[in-house]
Amino acid sequence: MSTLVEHYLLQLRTLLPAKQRDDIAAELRESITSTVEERERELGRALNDDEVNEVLRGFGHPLIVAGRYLPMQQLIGPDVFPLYWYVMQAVLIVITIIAGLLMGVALLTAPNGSQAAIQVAVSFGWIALQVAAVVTLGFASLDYCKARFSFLERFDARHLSAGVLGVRGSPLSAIPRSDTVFEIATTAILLFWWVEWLVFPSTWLGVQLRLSPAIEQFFYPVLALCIVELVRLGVDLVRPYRTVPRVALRLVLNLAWLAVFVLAYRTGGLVEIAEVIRSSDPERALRIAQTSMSVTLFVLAGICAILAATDVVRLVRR
Amino acid sequence: MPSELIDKLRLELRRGSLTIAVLAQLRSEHYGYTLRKALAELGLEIDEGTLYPLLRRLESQGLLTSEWREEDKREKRFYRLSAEGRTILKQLLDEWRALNGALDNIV
Repeated sequence: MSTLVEHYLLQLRTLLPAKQRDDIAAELRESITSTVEERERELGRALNDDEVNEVLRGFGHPLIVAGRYLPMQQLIGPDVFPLYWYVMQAVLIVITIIAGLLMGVALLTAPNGSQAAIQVAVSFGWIALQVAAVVTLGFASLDYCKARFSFLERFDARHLSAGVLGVRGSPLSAIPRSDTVFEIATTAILLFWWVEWLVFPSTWLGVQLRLSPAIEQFFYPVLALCIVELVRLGVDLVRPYRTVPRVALRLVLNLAWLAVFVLAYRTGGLVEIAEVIRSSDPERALRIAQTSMSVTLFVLAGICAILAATDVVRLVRR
Repeated sequence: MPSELIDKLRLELRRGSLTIAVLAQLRSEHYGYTLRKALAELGLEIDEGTLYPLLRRLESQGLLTSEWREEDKREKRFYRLSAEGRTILKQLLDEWRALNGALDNIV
C-alpha cells in the first residue's frame, strides 16, 4: 500500500467519529485499493505518486469526507437560516452604528481621544462577538426544536390570528421587523453596559466619571426589565403582530421604565467624579455631565410615556 | 456564474435521485466499489466521498443491511436492501414516477 494512501487514511481516521473509525477506514482502504488495482491493470504497471494522488483526489479531502460521516450536518438549516442571517446582519449593523457614534464622542471629548476610541472599538468588538454567539445559539436552538417537535410544520392558520389586536377603523398591521431588531440591539447593549460587560468612554471634559451609588438601587429592576424586554422582543420577532397580552405586557414594561427613569431623574446626582485627569474646572464638567444625563432621562421618560399612551389607545379601541 | 448556477441546480436535482439509484441497485448485493462501478456503467457517476457516507446513512436509517465478508482474499463490506428498504424504495419509485409523469406533462 502506497505511503500516500496510508497518510490519507491516517488523517481521515483522526477526523472520523470514534465508534465507527476502524470500520469506515477499513472500508475506504478496501475501496482505494480496488481503485488503484484497477488502474494498475489498465496501465500494466504500478501507479506512481502522481497517479495515486489522482485516485485519492477522487475520494475527496479527508476533512470533507470525514465531515460527511458526522451525524450533525448543519447548525442552522435552510428554513431558519434566512431569518438568522437577517437578524445577525441587522444586530451587527446597529452595534456598529452605536460603536461609531461613541467612538466619535470619545475622539471629541476624551483628553486622549484616539486611545478612548480604540477602547470603545475593542469593547464593542467583544460585544459583537458575544451577541453573534447568542444569536447563533438562539437560532440553532430554534432549528433543533423545529426539527424535533415539527412545531412550524403543524401550524394552523386559525391559531396564527388568535388574539391578534386590531384597532377599529384601521387595517391590521405587522410590527416592522427592523423596529424589533433595533430594539433588541439597543436593549442588549443597555443590558451589557448595565452589568459592566461593555465599557463606554467615561472620561468627560478632563474628568473620569462614574455612576453615583444612588443609581445602584436600580440595578436589579433594570436587569429584570432588560431580560423581560428581550424575551418580549424575541416573541415579536417570530410572531410579528400585536396581541392583547403582548400589548398589555409592553404597556406594563413601559410604565415600569417610566417609573425607573423618573425615580433616577429625581435622585439628582446621577454621576460623580472618580478622578480629575486634567481639568481646571471639574465641577463644571460634572454639571455638564449631570445635565446631559438628566436630559437623556427626560427624553427616555417622554418616549416611554408616549408608547404607554399608544398601547392604552390600542387596548381601548380594539 | 451561469456555470456555477447550473452546477448548483444539477447537484440539487441529483441529490434525491442518488438515494433512489443506490437503493434500487442494492436489490442485489454489492460492496462499495462494485456498486459504484455498476452505477457508473448504467450512466450514473457518483464519487466515493458521497457514496460511502450515503451507504452508512441509509444503513443507520434501517434501509440497508451490511456484513463484512472475505472475497478475493480481502475483507469487504457487502450491502443489501433490507425489508424496510424494499418498502421505502417502492414508495419512492411511485413518487418518482408520478413526478416524472407530471414533469413530462409540464415540459
